[in-house]
Amino acid sequence: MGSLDERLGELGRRVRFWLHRSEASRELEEEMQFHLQMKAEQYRESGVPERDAPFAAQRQFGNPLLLKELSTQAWGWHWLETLLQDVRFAGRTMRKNKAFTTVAIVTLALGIGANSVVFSLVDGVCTRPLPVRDPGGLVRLFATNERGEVDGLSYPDLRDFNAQAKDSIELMGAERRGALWRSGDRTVLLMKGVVSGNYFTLLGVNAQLGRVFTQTDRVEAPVAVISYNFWQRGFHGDTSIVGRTVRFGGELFTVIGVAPKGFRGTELWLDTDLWVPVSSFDIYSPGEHEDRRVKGLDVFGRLRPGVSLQQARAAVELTARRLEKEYPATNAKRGIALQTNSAFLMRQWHYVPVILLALVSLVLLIACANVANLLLARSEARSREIGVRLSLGCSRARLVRQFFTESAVLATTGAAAAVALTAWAVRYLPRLLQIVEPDIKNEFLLDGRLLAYTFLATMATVFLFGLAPAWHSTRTNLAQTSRSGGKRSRHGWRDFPNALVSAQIALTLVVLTVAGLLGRTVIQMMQADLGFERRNVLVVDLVSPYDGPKRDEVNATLLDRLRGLPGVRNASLAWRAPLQGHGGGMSDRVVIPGYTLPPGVPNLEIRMTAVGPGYFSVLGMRLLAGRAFDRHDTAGSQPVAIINETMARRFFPGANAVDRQIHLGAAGKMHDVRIVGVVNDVRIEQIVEEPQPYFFVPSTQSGQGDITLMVETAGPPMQKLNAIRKAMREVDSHLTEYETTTLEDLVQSAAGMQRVLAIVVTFLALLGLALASIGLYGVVSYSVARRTREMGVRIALGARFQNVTGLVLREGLLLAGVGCAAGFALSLAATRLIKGTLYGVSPQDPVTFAGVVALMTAVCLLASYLPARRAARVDPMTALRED
Amino acid sequence: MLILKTLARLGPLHGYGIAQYIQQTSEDVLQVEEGSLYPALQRMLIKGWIVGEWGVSENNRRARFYRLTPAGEKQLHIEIAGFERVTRALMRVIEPASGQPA
Repeated sequence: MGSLDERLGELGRRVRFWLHRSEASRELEEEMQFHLQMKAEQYRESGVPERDAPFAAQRQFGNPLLLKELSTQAWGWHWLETLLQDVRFAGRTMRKNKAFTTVAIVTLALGIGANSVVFSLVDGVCTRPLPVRDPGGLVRLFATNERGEVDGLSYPDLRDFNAQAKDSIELMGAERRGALWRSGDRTVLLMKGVVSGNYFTLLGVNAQLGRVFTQTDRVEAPVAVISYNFWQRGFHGDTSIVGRTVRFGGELFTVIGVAPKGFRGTELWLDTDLWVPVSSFDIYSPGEHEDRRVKGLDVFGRLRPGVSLQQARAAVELTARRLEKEYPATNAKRGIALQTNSAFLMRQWHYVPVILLALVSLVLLIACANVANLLLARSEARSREIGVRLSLGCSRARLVRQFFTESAVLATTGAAAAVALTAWAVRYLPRLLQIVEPDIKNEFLLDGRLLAYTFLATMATVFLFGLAPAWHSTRTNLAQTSRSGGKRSRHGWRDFPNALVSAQIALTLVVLTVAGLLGRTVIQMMQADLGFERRNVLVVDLVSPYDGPKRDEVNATLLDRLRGLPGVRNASLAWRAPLQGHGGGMSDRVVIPGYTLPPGVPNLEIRMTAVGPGYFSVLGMRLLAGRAFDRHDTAGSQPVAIINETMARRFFPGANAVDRQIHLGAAGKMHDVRIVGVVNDVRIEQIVEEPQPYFFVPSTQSGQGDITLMVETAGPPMQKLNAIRKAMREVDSHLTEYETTTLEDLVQSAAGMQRVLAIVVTFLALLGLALASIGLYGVVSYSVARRTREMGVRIALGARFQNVTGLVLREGLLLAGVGCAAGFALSLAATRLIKGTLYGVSPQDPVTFAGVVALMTAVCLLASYLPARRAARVDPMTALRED
Repeated sequence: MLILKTLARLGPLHGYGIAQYIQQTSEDVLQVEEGSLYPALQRMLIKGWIVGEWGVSENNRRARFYRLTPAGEKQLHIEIAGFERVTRALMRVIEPASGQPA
């Protein structure tokens, strides 16, 4: 009805009336008064006695107050007025019941706050969309190996996928590399993204300054785009950076642009400092990106308009099969998968975010049940007020609305407190995640997404805890409440709070069980036999600028020097220490005489690492046969290798592997390597992994430049760090320390995800336990308070302390029993869902289940005992004199 | 509609005047609670069909005079048209059909 213009005009008039409402209302009154006087005069003129005229006029006119009310309703602000009225009323009742209000708000703040903090954690780690165009439209293409683990793609693979599936998808690849950068007299290691030319255009990210490179950039000089953070940190935001040539490592790049603030690359957990296109990278490392064996690319893509994920999947599947046939050596037995970026991240995180959000919603439910019970108890106390209002003609809908407004005011206050709590708590989230990765760069923000989530949680809360009391209390029977003075309402309504408490106990039991299982998992992981001893070992990741004999010489001098330091027991080095990142490398062409490859497998690939002399003794590994490496294994001497137990058993079953020859393919030709020893299996990458073939070569014979120093100390390793740094500088000032940790921390980090999960869930479980016990305590106390007189009579008739406490305890334990039984059944179903994150403990672990039920029962006993004791101490005389 | 029509016919008028006029012209058939006129007036003010101006009544009292706006005139035409349609339909139903024996 009406054009937009008319409606706007109407809205304008409504606002005007609202702004001048007191004046408008006065005018209306004056006008009506005038009418009445005129009417009265008219009656007088027509002969009505002077005295009766005003009354006659009044009769004809109607109820002026009501009419005025009706008239002002025409302004259309009625709802707002009542809302404000309700809010003011809610505020008054809240202030009047300070204890009730405090408990309710604190409960809600904890429940909502826990949700906000967990959301912030999950969002910062996994679900926050990248600051790119249409982040939801990003897909990931990745390979999977035989064990189902995610693997990268090679650059030629990416090129083929892009060419052959170009009608359904556009792809780009990115890989992470280090880049050394000298700033003054310091060398820092930067994170460099080596990316396809279409990286920025596909993401839809423009330069903040200068320009980004594109697919068609055919530049002769190598170019780079730097991140905003690095621009600020390294160049103090100097705008003349664009066009300048900067040296990274030994390589020169022309900076053509600065990426926008907030864009940190395609990972949430790290900061990329600069991006170079593959074409620029190739100028310095030609040929590397032609090798199909180098599978280090993270591949992102966008579907072409109108193409579904299924269609794109079919297209890449077709290409993958073609590649498999064409390049069996590198592409056979590889699965290829296309998923949305968010689904990919969920997979990478083992659905932990979903589990956490589910558990924290349970905590919110527990909190809601508490507040619902509080409101119910209070509404019973208010039943007289409600009865009066209903009998005075207040509609039930109006009362329900009033109740909801009160709930909303409570919840909003709780939510405000929750946001403050979250703002404080998010500062500790990075510290929590450092358990998994010391170098995390995740951002945990109090941003719009978090506020939106908090708002939704709050709204859900209002309905969850507000509905039942609103419904229940307005059903009050008028006649009954006004007669009985609000003391008793219909029996049977106690069932509802009881059910709520039992539900709370059940939900708490679920969260407790999950926490228990995760805790046991962490303990199991820490007690697992890793194959090496967890000694005091400092692990220093070094970047050496040398190669060849010079490198070996520097390394040997450094190790000798370190071994001579006081407090140092032993020192060695390795390409990678166990559980440190990927655990070394992979020899992709191993030929073992006498061993035939299974059909369809073109090459034998075995993982390996390069180690220095003394490595096995630093780690306390057992030499099962042969000898360890020593300083006589040099670049010039005969190539040797030491294999692990699994490799010996698989390829030399029942025979002595020592002194056997194997052939390793490298740089296009094979060379012979003699096995000189066998050592026990160690965990390579993770605590939870199947034993697999693995071998060691002397670092002098590997050509691998990455060095990790491993220094065994007498005391806590970090205490020796300064002495070790000093020794390093004295041996060679060009050695750059990249990352330093300890063997113990590597082990702890390897269980980091489970540990963080266990910490967070334990925290949630304790919060749930506290809320549920308060809930039980409240309900039992309330019931005791209502039965004071009964207790008095019992005591007067000779009931003993034990009789009375027993009576109350029975009531509490009945609720607890029902809750525990339901929670037990729920837990059995729920723990199956987290099977993937458990280790060394079954989802139905009887120890955990029994322990959790015992804990729950103990807490319930305590929560019921306190009111029970009060009941037993009732003074019969006081109780009977009441009323 | 009656209020709008009254204002259209008589020009600016205060609430009491409108009530009087409707009562007189309808020969006292339409005698309602006069006060219920005011909610209607407020509604029409909001809709923008009428505007009110304070003035002085015939007996020198302060009174608010209501005047029809162009939008109000338009509304009046719409309502009259609607009313005529309804009355025509009603007439057709209650009038004996012509040509038919009674």
